[in-house]
Amino acid sequence: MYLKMIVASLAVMSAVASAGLVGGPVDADMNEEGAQNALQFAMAQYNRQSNDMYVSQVSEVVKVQKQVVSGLKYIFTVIVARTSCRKGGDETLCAVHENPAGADVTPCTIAVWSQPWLKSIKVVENTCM
Amino acid sequence: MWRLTFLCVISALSVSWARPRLAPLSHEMVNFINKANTTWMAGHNFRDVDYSYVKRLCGTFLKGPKLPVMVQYADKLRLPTNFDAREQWPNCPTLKEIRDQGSCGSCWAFGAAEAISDRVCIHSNAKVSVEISSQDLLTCCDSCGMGCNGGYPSAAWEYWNTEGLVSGGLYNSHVGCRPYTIEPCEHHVNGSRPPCTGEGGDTPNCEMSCEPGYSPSYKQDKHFGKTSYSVPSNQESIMQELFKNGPVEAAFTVYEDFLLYKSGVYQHVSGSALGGHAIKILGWGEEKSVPYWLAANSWNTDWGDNGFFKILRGDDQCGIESEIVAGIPM
Repeated sequence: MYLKMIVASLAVMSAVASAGLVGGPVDADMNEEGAQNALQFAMAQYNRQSNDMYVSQVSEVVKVQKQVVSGLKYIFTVIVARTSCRKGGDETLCAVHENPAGADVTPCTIAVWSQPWLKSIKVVENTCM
Repeated sequence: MWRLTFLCVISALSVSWARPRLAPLSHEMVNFINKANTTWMAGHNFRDVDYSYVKRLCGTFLKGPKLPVMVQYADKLRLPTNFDAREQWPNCPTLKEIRDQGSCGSCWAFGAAEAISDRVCIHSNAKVSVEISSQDLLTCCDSCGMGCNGGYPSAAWEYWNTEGLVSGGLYNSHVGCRPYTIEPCEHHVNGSRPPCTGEGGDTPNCEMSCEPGYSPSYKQDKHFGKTSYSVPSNQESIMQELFKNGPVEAAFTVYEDFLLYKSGVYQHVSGSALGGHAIKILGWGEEKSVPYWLAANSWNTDWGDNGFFKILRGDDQCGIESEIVAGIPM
């Protein structure tokens, strides 16, 4: 009985806490395929646009949120680090640079906005760019 | 109450487990929806870029200030089978307008500003026709919540009563005192919208002045509401309110499949919850004997049915009937 009450109240609390306002961001899970695709898209663009010779990649995901806007927006807080892979080479197995100075670890906030009915996906914020 | 919520969560979970696992927003999902022989059709013109999994079940919202429940009408109005506010009040042009909130979570301000614009016109017998500014509401109402990071529809209507709202049209329209400053995105090669720079996730400032060249002054341009209230969550009350006073603002849970809506009567078929959203309801009807609410979204005219959509009526689909607010102009 107690267990049931606890489960029930937890369910209510999580429903309420994640509901919040309309139009507000709610926590998402990095295992969601949408979140993964959005972050992958943002990192590919980041590597294309940066002048660095080496490929950067996400070494840690601190937080993921999703928000209903005109479409859907994912907001990531991630730690980005430089790998030892050179751009244009084999970019499949890239470990983060072993030398901390070379790794150049940076926290970034990245927001990706998509409107699937328009085939549109855009990086609307990247504090590391 | 606790037990009810528990049951609700469990039943929602079991329902979602029973559904086939589809890559959300993929072609498979579109095909699944279109072959499901449901009441609506999904669009094929997207690529499988994004979707996500459920955090929120049962579509409950924690709301801001509680508004008084509207006074029930003693005399039962005779309600038609189909009702479209655009046809009922043809001299009120804002009823036909679709806006675009852009990359900001300002749905709560749009639903309110759109319905208020319609009501100002309807209650003045089309003598006052004004686009109420979503911008003014979004940026100046502190009690409404958190601007582009979400807000409370009920607080928006209350703000209209106490502080008033100025006029303001679409992005770059130069219509009214404070037009919207967050740009929509252009996705079409020969489209009319500006290319998207992607800025605009932040709430703009509350400027208490009108755009250059606009008169009267900001203060003089404020339009006020007399009352604001919540509408009981039963079909009859909502229909009477629409019929008598015009469009209302409603809130509901957006699921992945809603982003793909093109035509027909939407009901949740596939995909998980993305978050809460507010829109304007402007009518009702029956399509192939399926009852629906007629609603206007704020995702521009290329979403859905020229920006409008129909959603199943009578079973509180995605919570659409449970959080309805409205008000009467001064």
